Amino acid sequence: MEVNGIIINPQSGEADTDIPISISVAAINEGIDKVVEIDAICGDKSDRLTIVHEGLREVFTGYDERFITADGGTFNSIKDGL
Amino acid sequence: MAGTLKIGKFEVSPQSGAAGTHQIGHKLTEKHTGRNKYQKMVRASINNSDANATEILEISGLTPFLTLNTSQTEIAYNVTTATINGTSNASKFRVSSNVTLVTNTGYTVSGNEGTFTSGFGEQSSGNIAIKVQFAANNSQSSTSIPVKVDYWNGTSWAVSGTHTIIQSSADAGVTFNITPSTLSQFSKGGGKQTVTIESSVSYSIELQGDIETTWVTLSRNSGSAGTATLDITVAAQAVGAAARELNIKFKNNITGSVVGTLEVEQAKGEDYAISWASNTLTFTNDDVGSIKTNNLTANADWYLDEPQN
Repeated sequence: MEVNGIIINPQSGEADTDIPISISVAAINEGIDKVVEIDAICGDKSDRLTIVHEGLREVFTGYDERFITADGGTFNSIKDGL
Repeated sequence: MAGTLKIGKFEVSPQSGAAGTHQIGHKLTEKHTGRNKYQKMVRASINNSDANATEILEISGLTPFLTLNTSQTEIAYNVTTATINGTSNASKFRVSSNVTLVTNTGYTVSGNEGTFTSGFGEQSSGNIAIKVQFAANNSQSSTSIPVKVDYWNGTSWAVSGTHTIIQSSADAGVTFNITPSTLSQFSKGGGKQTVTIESSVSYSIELQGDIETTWVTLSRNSGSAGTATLDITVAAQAVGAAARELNIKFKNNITGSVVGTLEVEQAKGEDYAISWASNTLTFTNDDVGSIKTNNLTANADWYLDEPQN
């Protein structure tokens, strides 16, 4: 399955211990950090996995200024050191 | 294009594809028996972009019901409780006032009304075991106790049916003793317990109380006058299975009266369990091509899904 650029396999299976689930990203994240949540479900129980794909940029924060914002209403800048 | 996406009770195929207009198949893989609506969201997204579209797949809730598994139970004259098994997705039920409703696993009691445990029946139907109490039969003939069972259909009481408890009379001069007189509750793993039966008459042995009795095995199904043992073997419970119970009845071969009963109870199966080895996984922005493995442990069939809320 692919959720917001995160590829996860397999997506279902049978009872077992230490079932390896492969997780990868489809492309470089040129934007800000992206968070994808996935629930593993078994009967009436579930456990949530949070996957963070760090982005190249971070939200530019400031105040008492007027900025032209990028798409989505944010004004992003490349992170320090990248 | 490839792959089938499993989302709860649905399968969606294909799971991926090239640009264009495509027909996406949707399949319901199991019946929805809960009284509430079942709903899942499917998100389609374009690689390397934020563009996506969602659809909601839903199944209406099944009209509340309560079905009794059997229409009658036979018991000995001195037995004063009986369990009526069935299946339901209702929120509550009630029994007729000629018996007393007593507490059992899965519901609470208020008068002759029982309220199932919170959440029961909302997303799936489940097995129920209604326990009722009445007086011993000290008369010279057998007696029938009709127990009418109603359930709440969401707006009013509806009739499920009547389960008749047939209480034998005491057979004069007959000796029938079971030692011990009760069984310990079997664990989820099952096992074997042995009782000794002393009888002055020949008798038959039958399982009763449920439509599904294969989980109990008896070492014999009849006996002669004298003393003999009986082995009761119970199979293991499946993961997620509810507690279960049924009765063994012993009938006098000459008069047909029930001269003894034995209740078999088994604890619920292991609770469902699932867990990630690590609940957080982080990729750097250029981690393309690297595959990270996170281990999952589950004690039954499992699937992955986007959070639905």
